Amino acid sequence: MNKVKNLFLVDDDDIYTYFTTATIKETSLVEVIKVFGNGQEAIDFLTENKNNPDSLPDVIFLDLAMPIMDGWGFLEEFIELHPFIGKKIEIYVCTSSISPDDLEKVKKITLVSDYIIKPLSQEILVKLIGKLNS
Amino acid sequence: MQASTRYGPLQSLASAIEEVVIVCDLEGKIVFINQAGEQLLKYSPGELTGKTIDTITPSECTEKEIGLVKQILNGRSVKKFASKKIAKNSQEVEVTSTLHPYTDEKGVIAGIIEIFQPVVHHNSLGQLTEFLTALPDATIILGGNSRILLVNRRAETLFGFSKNELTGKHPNFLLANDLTAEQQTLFGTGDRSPAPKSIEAIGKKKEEETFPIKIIFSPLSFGQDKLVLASVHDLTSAKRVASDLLKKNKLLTTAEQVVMMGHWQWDLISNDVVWSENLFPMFGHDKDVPLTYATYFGYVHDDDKDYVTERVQESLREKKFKGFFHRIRTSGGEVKMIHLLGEIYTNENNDPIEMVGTCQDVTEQKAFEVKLAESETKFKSLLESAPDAMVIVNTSGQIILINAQTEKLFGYKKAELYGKSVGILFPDRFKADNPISNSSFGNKAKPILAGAEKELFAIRKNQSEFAVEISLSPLTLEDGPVVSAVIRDITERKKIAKTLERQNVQLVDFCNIVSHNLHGPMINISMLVDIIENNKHIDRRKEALKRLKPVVHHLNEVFNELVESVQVRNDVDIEQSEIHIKSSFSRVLVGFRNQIDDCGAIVNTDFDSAPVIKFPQKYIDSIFSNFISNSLKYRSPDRRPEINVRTDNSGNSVLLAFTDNGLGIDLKRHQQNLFKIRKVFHKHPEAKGFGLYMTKTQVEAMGGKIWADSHPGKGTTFYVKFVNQLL
Repeated sequence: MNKVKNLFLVDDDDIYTYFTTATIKETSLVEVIKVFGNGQEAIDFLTENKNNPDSLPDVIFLDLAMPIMDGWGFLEEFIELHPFIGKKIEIYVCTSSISPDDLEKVKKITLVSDYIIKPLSQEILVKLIGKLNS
Repeated sequence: MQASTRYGPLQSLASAIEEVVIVCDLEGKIVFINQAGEQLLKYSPGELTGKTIDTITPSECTEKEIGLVKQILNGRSVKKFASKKIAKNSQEVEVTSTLHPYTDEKGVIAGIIEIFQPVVHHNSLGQLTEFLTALPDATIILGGNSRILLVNRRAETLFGFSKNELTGKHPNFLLANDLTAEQQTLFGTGDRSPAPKSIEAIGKKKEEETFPIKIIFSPLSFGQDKLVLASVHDLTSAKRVASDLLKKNKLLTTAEQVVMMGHWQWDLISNDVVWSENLFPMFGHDKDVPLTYATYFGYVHDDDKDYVTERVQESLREKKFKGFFHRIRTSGGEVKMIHLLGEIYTNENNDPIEMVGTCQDVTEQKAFEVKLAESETKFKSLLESAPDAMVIVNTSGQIILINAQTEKLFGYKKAELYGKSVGILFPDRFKADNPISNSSFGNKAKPILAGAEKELFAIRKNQSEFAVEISLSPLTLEDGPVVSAVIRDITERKKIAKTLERQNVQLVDFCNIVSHNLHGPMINISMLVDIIENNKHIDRRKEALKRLKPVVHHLNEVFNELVESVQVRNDVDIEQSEIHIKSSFSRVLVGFRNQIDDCGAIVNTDFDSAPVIKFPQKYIDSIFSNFISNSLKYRSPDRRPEINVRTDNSGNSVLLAFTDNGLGIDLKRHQQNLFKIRKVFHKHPEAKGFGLYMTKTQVEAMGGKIWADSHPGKGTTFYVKFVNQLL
């Protein structure tokens, strides 16, 4: 896998996105970090840029509980959109939900690489980013 | 041989006559004696032949007879003379005798012929014999020395002896028992009063059979002779009758004892009262104390005296005895219950003359009856006091007993259900196939519970149905096996189950709410703490510290919201008042005046169909406030906001429709989360996701429903259904 150029954070939690962005930036391993407040915004961006691989993310950190369009909604739309995107995008579900039902549901979606339960400490986050770049 | 040849003709003659004929030769030897002679003198045939005449002649007569024989030998005849003979048993027999010479073919005297008869006053016996024959009873005439002189034919038949076997004997041999000396004198002819005297004795027949007899002795003067006439009555049949009577009486007494019954007779004329054996112990009355009607009445229980008097008088008046029960107090103080039955006899003038009847001690039966009645009453009161409707059904499915709860539950009166098929209590679809009709318990008498798993409905008289659960038990009553069915209205329980189910869903929701909404801020805190502790950059640490406060504040806010919603759920007893929707709505609207003016919103209301609802004031205010706030918050920037609010009456409930022309919500996507806490559907700085959640909580706490109809870009209509609104 190549170096992670673009990383999207899809999350409505300002604190999370602010500090996650800051932590990732400090690693200097990611070139661009984009934050979307809900699923709809992210889907809209992906739809608009589906033919523009440079703008498309390599990795998406996706929250589940969001207003307007939640993580599930995003995944539904993404499954439909995905064939039209000419780039491999890894999706990590990052959620505060500890519900086993959610975990099961996520596992069934093959487009999702992993399921990470918040809080995500800086240490773990750095390790994860490092892994993604190796 | 010689004699038989020589006296042959005489012999045949002699045997034909009743008199005794004896022929002696000249030496005094008996050469012939006829049968009558042998019988009279108790010798066996031929025994006397060859013996001297002295054998049968008492010594005091010998001389006289020798003299008379000499006269005969001298050719003179001899007159009839009185003499005596000795029988073989040494008894003397008085006889009247004549002597005749016996001459052979040559005319020579070869012996003496003596012809004699026992002296029985020959001349009068014929008369007496006739008299005896005419008597209806077996009769024996006793002469001097208590010897039997005469018997009649009936006496011969009775005892089985012939006349000859009886005459001349003492009658003791006809008796099987010994008589007392006094009784013995009755056989004698001694001086005695002319009144007849009788004894009872045991007679003995010739064939040794004994039988009860009664002998009546009467003195009989016959000419100069003093005789005794003994008339013998066979008591066999009389005794049998008497003993039969005795036996039957005993039987009656026993029977009466067994059923604790006695009988009584009351002669209304003489006032004589007769009690049967058993009445005495029943009343504890001393047998020696004479009886009158007062005796009986004296034992009647004080409390029943008037009643008994009344009943007896009534019986006498109507000449018909109607049986009744009354209590007695025995001489021992014991109280008994008596069943008195009787019959009244009247004379030809139809006046009562006698009353007879029975008394039965029915204390135990009455006690049993009382117990039975008590247990029946107990059963019925148990049935009545049962908290559930109970129906007792016989094996053919007919209702035989119901309790008041059944009347209440089904709206039928008892009389309307008794004898009816139990199917009447079920809707048509269960009529043929209801659990009560189908409960054939057979041998495995185990209670059955119906309606617990499969839904079962019963039907009231007014044809309204309700869910039931029926427990069936077999029961054996006196009249046979029955089924007792406890019918329980489970409508309320089902409602509760539904409520529980709903509350369970709410509880799960709530858990999710807590986990989502409290977990989020907590994660933030932990993240911030991580940064504060571990980040290398001071600026970042400061930034994190600065951001901690609003997170804590947010956590607090969420927590308070949750507490508030919990209170709504718990506050099931919140006071409901009759709310005039128009004035309520207007009041809430005032709070939004500035915002409405700012955006120029139009608000239309129509509450005429249902101007009043029953709901907590606090909740309705909050609901209106949320709706108005949402409509203004999520108004469309493309058009002038318009809000339409109206109510509709729909039977038991009131429907509120709140329509706006705002942004609308994509229900395809958000249907699930529409009313969930912390769910927002629009990017708006004030969107918190709490209002609709709270509204739903309040509506549902009152049993109502809330739903929405919305189209993005067109607007939203929220509907609220207020239930149980029949005022």
